Amino acid sequence: MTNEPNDFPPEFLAAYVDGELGPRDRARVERWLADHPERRALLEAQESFAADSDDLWLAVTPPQPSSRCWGECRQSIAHALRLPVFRRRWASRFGKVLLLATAAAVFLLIFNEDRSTRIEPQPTVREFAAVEPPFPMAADNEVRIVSLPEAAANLLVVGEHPLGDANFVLARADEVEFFGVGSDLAGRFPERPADPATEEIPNLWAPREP
Amino acid sequence: MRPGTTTTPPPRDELLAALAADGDAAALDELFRRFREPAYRVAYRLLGSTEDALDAVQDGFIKALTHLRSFEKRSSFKTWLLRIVSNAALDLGRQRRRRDELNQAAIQRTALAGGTTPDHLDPAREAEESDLRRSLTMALQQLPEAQRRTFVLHVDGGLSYREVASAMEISIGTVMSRLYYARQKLKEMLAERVSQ
Repeated sequence: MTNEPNDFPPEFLAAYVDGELGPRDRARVERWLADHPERRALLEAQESFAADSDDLWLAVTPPQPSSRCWGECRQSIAHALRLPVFRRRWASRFGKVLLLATAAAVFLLIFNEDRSTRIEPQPTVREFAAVEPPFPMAADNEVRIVSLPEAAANLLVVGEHPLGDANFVLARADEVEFFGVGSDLAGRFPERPADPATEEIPNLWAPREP
Repeated sequence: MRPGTTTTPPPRDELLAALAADGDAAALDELFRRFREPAYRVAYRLLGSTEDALDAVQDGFIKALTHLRSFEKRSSFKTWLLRIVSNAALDLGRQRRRRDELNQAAIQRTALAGGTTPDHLDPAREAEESDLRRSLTMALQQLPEAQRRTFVLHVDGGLSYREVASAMEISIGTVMSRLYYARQKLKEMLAERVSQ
């Protein structure tokens, strides 16, 4: 006597009938059949069921395409495969050229930027711009407002960038002084960071709770 | 075999696929010859139309060969191809249903006016198909998509349970269960049709 269950689930027996169980599971089913010969009827029902349904299915084969249809299909595949190979190679070569061109353009841009800032000395800004990469900002037509809480509506700035296409450099806390700045409607006032660790970090200034 | 003679084993599917993807026409011919039949049977069972099935086969071969780098070789090339063909067929079926829904009014107007109808509604073509084939196709269309795909990949694509599991990224237990219930439902539906 074994510890096999009283009955295996029908899908398990179907897999046995299909010859899809591994050796261990096959052995389990065979032991179970040996212990419960009266259950063989369940297995035979599965055999008959699987054979009937699959035979019925396979007896009605799909209509065969003509050799011309097969030929056209094969030609279309060959044609489509030629294009991506060409495009991949072209893209690979073009990509290298593009990378070199971009590197050259970036080098020239940085070099010119450095020269122009020397003509109009702005020590703090120039020093910062040489270290930090340009700060990307979205134009108003590149932004879609998905949700806007009502309370924040009067704080949102929309429209064109006030500096146009010029580079935008953020000031550090020690480069900013406030003259005649009052609190906003909610009584909030911009404060300089008091922590020396954050004093050197460029800031966007925003109202803060009093 | 005579002593001293050697036979060259046929090139493996994966090698043929790599050569075909690189533009080798002979490799593509051989690969197409090996797998067009199971690919077509799977696509036809999912779509019920020769023209659409050939489109899915074409689409499947192109995708399988142009994305060969994504083929991780955990399964056979046939399993990978049939997975892509069955996906292409199901996508095409969804597009066709949407297209048919949109064009339904126009089709009815054309048919009433004595004009031509699309291939899959052509009465002459319908008559050519046997009643049994039509019944089977209709019964299959009523199965849930996952069961239909599992059944077709096994019975028509000739994939083992393990290969179907790999193609559909499901467990073997799920394959067992889907196949069993798909067969059960098909048998019930066909019995109803036969008795009608």
